[in-house]
Amino acid sequence: MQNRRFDWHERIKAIEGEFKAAKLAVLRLKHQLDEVPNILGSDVSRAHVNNATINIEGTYIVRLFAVFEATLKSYDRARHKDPTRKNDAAVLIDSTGGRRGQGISASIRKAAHLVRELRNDWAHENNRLPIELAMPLAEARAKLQNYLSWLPDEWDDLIVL
Amino acid sequence: MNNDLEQFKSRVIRLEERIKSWAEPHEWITKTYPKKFRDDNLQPHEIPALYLQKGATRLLLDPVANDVPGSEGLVDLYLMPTYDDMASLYFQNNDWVIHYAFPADPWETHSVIEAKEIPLSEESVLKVLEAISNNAEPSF
Repeated sequence: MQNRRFDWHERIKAIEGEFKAAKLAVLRLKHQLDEVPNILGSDVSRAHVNNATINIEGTYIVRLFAVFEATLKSYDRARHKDPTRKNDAAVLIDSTGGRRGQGISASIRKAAHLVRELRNDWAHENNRLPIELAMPLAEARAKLQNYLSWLPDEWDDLIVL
Repeated sequence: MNNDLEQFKSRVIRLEERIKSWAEPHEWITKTYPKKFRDDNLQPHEIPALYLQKGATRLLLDPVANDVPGSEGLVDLYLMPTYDDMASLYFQNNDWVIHYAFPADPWETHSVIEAKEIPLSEESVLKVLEAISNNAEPSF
């Protein structure tokens, strides 16, 4: 069975769509709470809704990067014909070759690393990322999609051992 | 495949055939790519997406959904390889309309750019493709 790069691109784009829907839903709920404070059930508080509003973009950036990382791992296993290979994202971003057997250019790798650092910051709640490195989800998506566009159109699908 | 998804697939295929026939004489190279969908019963199906390329500009006409409020189908047009949103096509009143914000005219004094709803035609499609080709820059 073959992995198609196109399918991985589409998964990443679909997460952006889910993010837009979730953000709209949370913002509408927050707005509605001002008019009808008792619409929340007993296990959801206003603080939960406020935090969801603040963190929703980061939550989806974590998911976005997870699909990107899964793509790299899938391709890395196929490239080395080794279903047991395990590398972390930082190594994979630098070691993954392009579709013509060449490395992926430094600027494209650097952009992917920026998203990885942003993901790490959200996932581990460090809040240490310099403000100038923060970016909206759409920008993160563009950087990751651009990186993946350098992978081959297809590669073997190896069962993970 | 349920009837709604089957109908959406037929509409998308017809849309792509029309766009191909209009764009290819103007040096756009096209290629279809099967996109995976799941119906209400989670059964997998494929509906074609359409790549368009002219020079350095690469676009993807990507079927998105058949159940959109106020519309019976949504297809997005992305700038590749970043998947930046460029335009959307909605199926309403038995045909497709394009939602696209043309770049601001530098001679115009107002700066607000709003997406316009444009009926699908050879002229409108070519105008949108050329505007994207002349103005779009990837966001990365």
